[in-house]
Amino acid sequence: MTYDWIPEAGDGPAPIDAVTFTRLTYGVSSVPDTAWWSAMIELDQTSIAEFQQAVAQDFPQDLLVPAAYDANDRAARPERQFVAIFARRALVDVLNRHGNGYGVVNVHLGLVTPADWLNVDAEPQTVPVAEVAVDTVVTGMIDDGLGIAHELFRKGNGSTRVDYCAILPTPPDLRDVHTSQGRAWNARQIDSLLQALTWSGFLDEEQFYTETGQIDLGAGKFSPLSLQRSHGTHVMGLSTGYAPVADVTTRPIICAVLPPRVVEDTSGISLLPSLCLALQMLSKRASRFQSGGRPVPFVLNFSYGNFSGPHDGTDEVSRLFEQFLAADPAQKRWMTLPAGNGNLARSHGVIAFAETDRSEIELSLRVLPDDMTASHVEFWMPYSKAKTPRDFVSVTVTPPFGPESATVDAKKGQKQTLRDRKGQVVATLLYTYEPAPTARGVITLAIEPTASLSGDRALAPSGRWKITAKQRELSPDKKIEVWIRRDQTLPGYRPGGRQSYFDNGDYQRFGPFGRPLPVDPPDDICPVRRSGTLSGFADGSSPMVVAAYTEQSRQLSDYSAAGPLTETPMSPTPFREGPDAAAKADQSDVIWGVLSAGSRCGSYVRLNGTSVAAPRVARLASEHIGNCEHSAREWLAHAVQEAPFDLADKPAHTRMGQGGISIPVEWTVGPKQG
Amino acid sequence: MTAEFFGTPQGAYGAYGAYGAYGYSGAYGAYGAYGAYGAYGLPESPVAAEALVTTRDGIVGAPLEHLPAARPGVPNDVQNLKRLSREVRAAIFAFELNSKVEMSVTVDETATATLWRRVGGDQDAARPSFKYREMVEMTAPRQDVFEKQLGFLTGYADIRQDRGAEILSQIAAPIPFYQTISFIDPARTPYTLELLATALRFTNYCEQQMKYALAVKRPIELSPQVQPMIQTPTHGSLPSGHATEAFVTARLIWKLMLHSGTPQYEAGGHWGEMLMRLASRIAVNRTVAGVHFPVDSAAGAVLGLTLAEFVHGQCTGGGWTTSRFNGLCYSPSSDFDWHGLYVAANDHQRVETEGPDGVWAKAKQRRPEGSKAPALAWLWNKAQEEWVDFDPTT
Repeated sequence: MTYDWIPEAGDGPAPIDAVTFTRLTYGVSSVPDTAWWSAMIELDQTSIAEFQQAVAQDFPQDLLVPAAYDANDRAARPERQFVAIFARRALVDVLNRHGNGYGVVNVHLGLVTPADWLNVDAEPQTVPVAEVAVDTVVTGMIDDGLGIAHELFRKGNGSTRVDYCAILPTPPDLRDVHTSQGRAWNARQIDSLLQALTWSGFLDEEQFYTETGQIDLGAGKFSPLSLQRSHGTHVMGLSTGYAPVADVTTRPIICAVLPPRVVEDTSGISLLPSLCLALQMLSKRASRFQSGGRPVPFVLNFSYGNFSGPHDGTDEVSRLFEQFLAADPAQKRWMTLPAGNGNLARSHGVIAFAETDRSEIELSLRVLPDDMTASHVEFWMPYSKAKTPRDFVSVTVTPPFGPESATVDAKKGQKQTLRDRKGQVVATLLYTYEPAPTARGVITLAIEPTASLSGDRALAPSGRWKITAKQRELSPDKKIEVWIRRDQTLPGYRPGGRQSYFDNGDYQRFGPFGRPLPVDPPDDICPVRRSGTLSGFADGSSPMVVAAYTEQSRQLSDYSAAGPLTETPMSPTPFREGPDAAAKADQSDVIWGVLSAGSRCGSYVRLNGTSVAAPRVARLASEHIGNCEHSAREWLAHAVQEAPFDLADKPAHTRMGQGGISIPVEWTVGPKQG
Repeated sequence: MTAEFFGTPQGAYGAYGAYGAYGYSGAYGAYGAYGAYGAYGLPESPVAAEALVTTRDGIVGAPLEHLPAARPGVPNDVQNLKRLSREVRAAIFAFELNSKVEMSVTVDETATATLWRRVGGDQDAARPSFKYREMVEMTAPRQDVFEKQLGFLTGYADIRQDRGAEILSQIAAPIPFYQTISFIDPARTPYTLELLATALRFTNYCEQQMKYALAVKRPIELSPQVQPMIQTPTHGSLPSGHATEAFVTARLIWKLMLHSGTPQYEAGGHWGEMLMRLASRIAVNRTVAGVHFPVDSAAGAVLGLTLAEFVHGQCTGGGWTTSRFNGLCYSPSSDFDWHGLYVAANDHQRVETEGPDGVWAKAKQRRPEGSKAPALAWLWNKAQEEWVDFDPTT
């Protein structure tokens, strides 16, 4: 097979988001035009109502704004706002162009949402107020499989503590006229289901989760809840699990179940639009818990991470979290996030010419065979508010078995496609510009899957892709930061993506005694770095970001990702150096993980990763948020002093933040009042 | 050495060696006649036979006269059972059960097989004559139901990694799984094991005939993408033999526990519920493995629950149940849900089970008819005694 690079002329106005563009243009030809895509848009000085009105004129059938946005939300016109929508391809394609005329300044494509998961007639509502005890703290959780029936989420009498559970990946109950996607369950409904399906003291959980819409094996749909170990259940157990004997009534749970990743869309799906919708739904629900006319505090844990984004605090996920945390000024809201597990993933590179006399730097991208989903590498240019940013670097790409591409500069309109002998696009190299507040150019290398079970899918070659960055106008104090988007198949899911990684010969993987090196060696000249691997979600200013440690060895877990952030003038003092603190995620190097709720009542399983460190902090935070006058991160810094867990070898702040914190989790003991 | 023989293996591969774990340890084998003999250290071999021959020659002495008379054997009496090896008893129990049933088949839109139960008549008459009453009537679903249920096979295939160990361990009779709920052990409950083996041999006898009559194809014949994680047995898909046997086992153990006079078993129904959850899990695992449709498990549960009641009736002279599985009304969208068929707390099969396409199962309790089978009654009483708890106050 031979391949050729072809320069591409711009097709209409320049695209805003490169991944959305390449997915819609090359990756999803089999998806019908009438399919509903979930998407997250960012509106600039435009209300939702104005946006809807403008779109209705040109695309009357192509937009659905979820009912979770009530009349006030639709009328408000903040400077910027993220909104989750469902839209058809033609509309998304137009919105993803600069100067689209609808007030949309950014687009993030999610996944094809089956029409039968949507209730297009749902109407907004005002959520009724619930008067609760003054020491109540609402606890929130978003994940992709939540075993809400587990006893850790029940009161002493066996009734549920879950006040609200939105299950997005399921057909709606059409009697519920206020939910646009999936089913929303309230405590009364959950309790009556629990009661109806309990026999001789045992809940028939297969039936329970089938009824709630989380399990639908007949439709061939995968749910992590069908497995012994489900991420969401485990994490929720740590953040807000209390045994019925503790009879906890002051920790109502509101939660949302995201769609499971489906590999049928091989273009690289994203759950971000679903997350945006889930946050909106929970935000409305959280405000209803009031004591003396004021909403009680709310602590949300979200144990997801990714590898991509600008990592400077201005990315859309971080700003979405800030929007959510500030959505109800009367309610104190805290949030915990994992630092990420990508420390050793070799997914991050740094291009800087100051340290050496090199004028070009090479990255070897190892693209694996049998990778059924697209791979994306992003080169983030330095911040530049100039209308025409400088041409910082140029990039060429040499695929296995193919020629080196023509140069793609960090300049508007630059685009090359790699085509196979049949003329099909198997890779795209293009420049786009991420508008303010990020204000950075991005050169994206999008590589189509290397394997497919369908005969007509264009396939990219697997192997070593040589990426060469050449110095143009990058000043010595600036860097280009490179991240590979996360693309692997998570445990329990159908095999699909395989994670590409940088395979540079000078990357030193192991230290003395053959142990993996958890930090970059001193004076390392390899452009592939462990530092700066912090999750692309975890660079915002407000959430508490938690690293992972191994209790017995007192070491930070090797996988626990590290700062620092990419510098940006948009936050003169960087928001953070890395995580805020480190919490337990592994018992020992041999006994990995920590115990928490399994998918079925009475079962307890092990899971590790920063995903299980973050909810520990959320658990403790819910005991203190009510009486703390400081910000979440200030509180956490203080909490580390109160219950320090000394870590061996004094890890850098960029890896552990303020340090290790010891947080006991005892299911049978109710929350203390801080 | 011999281990308990649990009937013709469902899978025909791992064989009901099942019991494997115990068989190998020899604990159970020691119970058997040969095992006992072997235990004395004299193997059956030409050498051993020669030794016995020469021993006799050495000590036999001249023929005796006027030996005291022995009593004749007691004909047709259960007293003899305890002197028989378990293999021999197994044949006697099998005769009592197998001779009580008959099957007829009609073919309309799909096949309907009816398992008949023998009633009335005089067994001891010189020329027996009997009548038969319907016990289980089973109508196969239309082919499109199976085609539509392939969706379940796809969905369940995703959890194979989670269930692999269970599926492989359950290819043969999964008695050790029941031992985790009910305190069954060769030393503690030998007659219970013998009863279960008896029931399972009979169940296999009936279920294989039912599968043969209905001739339902396996998932592997309907799609090349099922790719089961174990070999597909050569017999028909519906009813699921694993479901049938699992529910027979669960219900019989539950009856022993329920009638043991033991307080924690009698009240609340917890053990029964758990035994049925296990039976259901075993049945569903066969769908996960890729060798059964959910509707096969539903039919198997109907058959198994009914056969357990029949076996119990034969043993105790108690009532029995007639049941009907109508696959023509089974909705393709229905997964297997045993709660629709049976309430464990009061050991009761539901009168009607309705799905989106109508009533697909019916059951009716019948009053006792005919006397109990004497040999089976002997076995049941022995097994039941094993579950009676000791009273600490006496």
